Amino acid sequence: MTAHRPPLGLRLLLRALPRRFRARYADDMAVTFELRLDEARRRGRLAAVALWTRTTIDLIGASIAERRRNSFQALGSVDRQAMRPDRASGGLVRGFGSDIRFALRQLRRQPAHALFVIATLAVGIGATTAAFSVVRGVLLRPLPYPDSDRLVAVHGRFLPESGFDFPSFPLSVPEYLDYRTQSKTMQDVALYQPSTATVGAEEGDPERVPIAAITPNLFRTLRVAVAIGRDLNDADGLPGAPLVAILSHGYWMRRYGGDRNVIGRSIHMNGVDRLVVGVAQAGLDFPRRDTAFWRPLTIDTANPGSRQSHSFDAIARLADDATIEVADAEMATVMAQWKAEYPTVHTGHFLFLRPMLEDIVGPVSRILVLLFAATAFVLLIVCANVSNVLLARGEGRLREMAIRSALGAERRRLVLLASVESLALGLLGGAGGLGIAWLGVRALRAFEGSGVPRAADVAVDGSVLAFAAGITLLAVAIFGIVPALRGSSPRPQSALRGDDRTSSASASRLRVRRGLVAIEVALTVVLVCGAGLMLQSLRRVLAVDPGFDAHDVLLANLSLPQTSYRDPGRIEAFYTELITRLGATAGVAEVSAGSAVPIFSTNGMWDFELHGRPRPADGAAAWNAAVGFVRPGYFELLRIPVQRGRSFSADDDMNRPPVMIINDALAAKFFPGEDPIGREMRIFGSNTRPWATIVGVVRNVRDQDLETPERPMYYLPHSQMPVSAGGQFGNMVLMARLQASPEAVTSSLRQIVRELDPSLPLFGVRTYPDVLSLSHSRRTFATGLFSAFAAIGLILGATGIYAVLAYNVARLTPEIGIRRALGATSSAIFALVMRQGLLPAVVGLVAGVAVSIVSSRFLASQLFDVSPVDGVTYVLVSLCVLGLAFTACLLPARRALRVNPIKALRAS
Amino acid sequence: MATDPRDLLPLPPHDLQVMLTLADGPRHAYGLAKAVEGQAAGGVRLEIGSLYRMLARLTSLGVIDEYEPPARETGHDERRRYYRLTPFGRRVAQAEAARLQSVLDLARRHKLVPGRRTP
Repeated sequence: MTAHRPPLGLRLLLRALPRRFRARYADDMAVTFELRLDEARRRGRLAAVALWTRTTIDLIGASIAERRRNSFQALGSVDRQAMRPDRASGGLVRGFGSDIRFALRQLRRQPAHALFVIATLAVGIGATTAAFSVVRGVLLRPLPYPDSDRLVAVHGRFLPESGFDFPSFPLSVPEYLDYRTQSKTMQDVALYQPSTATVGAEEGDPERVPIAAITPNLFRTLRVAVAIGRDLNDADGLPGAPLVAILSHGYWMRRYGGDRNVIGRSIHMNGVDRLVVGVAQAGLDFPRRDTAFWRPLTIDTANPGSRQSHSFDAIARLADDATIEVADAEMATVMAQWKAEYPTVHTGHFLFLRPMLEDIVGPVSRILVLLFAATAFVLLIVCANVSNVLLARGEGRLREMAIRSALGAERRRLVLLASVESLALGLLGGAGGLGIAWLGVRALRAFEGSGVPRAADVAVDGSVLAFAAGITLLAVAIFGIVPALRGSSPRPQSALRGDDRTSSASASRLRVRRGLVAIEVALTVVLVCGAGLMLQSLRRVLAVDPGFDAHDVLLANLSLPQTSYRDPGRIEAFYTELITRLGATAGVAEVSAGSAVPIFSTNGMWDFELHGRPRPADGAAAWNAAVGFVRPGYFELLRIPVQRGRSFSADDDMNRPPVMIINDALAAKFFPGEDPIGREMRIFGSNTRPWATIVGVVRNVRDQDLETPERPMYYLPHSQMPVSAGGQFGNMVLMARLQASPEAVTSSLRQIVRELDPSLPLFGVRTYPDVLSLSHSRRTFATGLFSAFAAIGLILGATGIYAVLAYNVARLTPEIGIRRALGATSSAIFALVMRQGLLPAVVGLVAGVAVSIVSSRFLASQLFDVSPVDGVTYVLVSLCVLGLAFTACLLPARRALRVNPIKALRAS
Repeated sequence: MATDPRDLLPLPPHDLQVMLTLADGPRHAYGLAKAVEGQAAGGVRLEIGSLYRMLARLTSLGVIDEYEPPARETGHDERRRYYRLTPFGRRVAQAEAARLQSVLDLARRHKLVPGRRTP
């Protein structure tokens, strides 16, 4: 006979038994249990689960009882006691197991009730636990770097007095070098710049991967190690150093299969070869999740570039003896120095620090906390409802409780009995909730469109399990306390007599239940108001007129490597040919391209000059606007109307005078009251650049996202870039207006690109509607969740109102009978019942609206174009809740109307 | 340990059922539980915690004891323990049965229970 181990769960439960008992009986108990389990399994999975549940509760009770018995025996009580049936003194000990059995029997007898309670508890606990998982995984969990709380992000800020208004902006190399040298509170400061690279065709298909350019000390600042090979050293960042790269662990596994001989091989990226010198440790996701590799930034300290060329992000590590407060104070001093040294650059422009974790999760922290609060509301609503259900069931068992009480059971015992039932329900609900939470977390991890940073690392870990356990017990305490106290009310005589329905105890019970309904309604109203405000915001966002129409436009990114397309005219030839061929393809109505395409990609703000107007003396560069370099047909394809003058044409090429088109906002800001057509502008940067003539004014578009208002913008023909900008962009976004399916056109497009240049990858192919919905996916996601919670609250609230009123009508049947007999009209009866039912709902509604108004400021930051005290929303919510309450009251009211007065009087 | 069977009366219902089952012969705990479930009018299930507590209690009172089966049959788990009624336990069961019989007679005399025609 081979040694056979009982299931882990059973072993754990048996450990709760006192040592002697366990030593003697545990093995045999395991055998018996396994026999029972086989038998149950044969009957079905549900039977097996039921057996496990019963056994768990039984063993817990037996452990407690046996331990108490041991301590009684230690006190010298007689053995005889053990044989006696429940007496008040020792009864508590022996009766515990039977109490649990009794509680379970009761639950089994009314499975619908029990299932409802368990299901709603599972939803409430599951939602709260899932929300906690997210809060824990995203907001609370420290970053995966050693001493990550000592890492800070360094940003630039522009106040309006500088001519710009940017709360957060990148740094320039001179600013970085100066801060690094001058700061004593930082042990190290590093720069990084995320971008994408095309990785060469030799090692397989060309692919486009996210990478980052970093100063060689970045890994050291983060204190992350290199798994294979070496880290970057300062020599790699010097001008003229050999080109190197460090691969990420994931990319190394994916593309090189984990081959350790990758060190020393070269990788072809963006047209140049780089030597692979190292592979980073697993799990390094800096600056973003799927960064494939890092390359060193070349910095020439003798020639660091313009102080105003802000292109880099920065992080720093605090020195061991410094705190962030000390670092902030130092920063103020250093910034004052810089302002004195470079007054034009640093008026209204300075650097500031922010802890790195906050930097990453800051944008979502508010909404995540709000969603967590919403789930807590849902759980409270669930508890109120469950409490109501248990109170209602308690009514039915009054008789039995009264008999027990009359026979000498202490109140303590009765409370315990009711509590056991609550505990059983709570534990089962908690287990279900944990399952729901686990599913929810898995769904969030898989759903990339939520827009939540660090979402992929959210998991149900130990702290989440502890939270689930704690919240379950809390829920049990909340919903169980009232029924337990009520059910043990020490007034058995009236219950035994049978007129419990009209006794004052019953009336007070009803008051309690109606109070619970009012609380439920109030909580629901707060939830629904929040959801309503968010839905309004979403509606407003979706209703925004972005200024262009692209419902059937396909987008694709193309990136021409500088090395192979350095010859002037090659880029031009490529795009001209590409657009011509694509335009001739079946299923394509119009084709164009641009370096900046609304919502999808921007080029940032570029400074400019106006002919005949000197630039302002103070402020770094007060004249700047968003810029875009576009091919002919750009405005027509996007249906951006030309308000004045003309659009670009194929004639606006390298051999013709440079031209420019501006938008309404730029015209209003820089040419108020005049006609800008014919005026001259140029990109700021070189005195030898020719002035471009403004030939047209187009309507504003929302170029960043739907929620950010339009800003001044100017456009130049892509073909004229070598003259007007000193170089031509090879990276453009191709746009095609479709008459056929996107898939068909995409494959035609790939074919054309392959014919023109097989080494070019085509990436980021998507339709404009997809781009638009992705741009507000975070809002949609949060709004969806809020609405789901509000819906749950509404359903539960309506159920609660209905249940209480139904009970009340049943209770009032004799009184209604009397009123009828005395001549009351139907409408009077109806009014009586509706008043009873609607009163708690109205009280709850008023309270809920008041709480919503007061607490709405917490939601304000999440709203778009909607005031947190938006009257329309509150009115709609009130009507909705009242309507639902009214509907819930109708059925009991109708029943009341059908009361036969004779029967009612007879029955009482 | 009690020496007089009557000291242990009246017996709690489950105890009597167990003892009656064991009167037929030794049983393993699982068999006992199934027999009790089958017999009892309420059909109450005894889960292992309550069951073994009861067995421990009955053992400490000397009413039942553990018992090694003489022959090792194949397929039997070595961990299985069997329980049997002690002679003392047998006397206790008889005393309780007698007591119940006298209660029943009394109830019949007072017309609470339909009676058998006594000769």
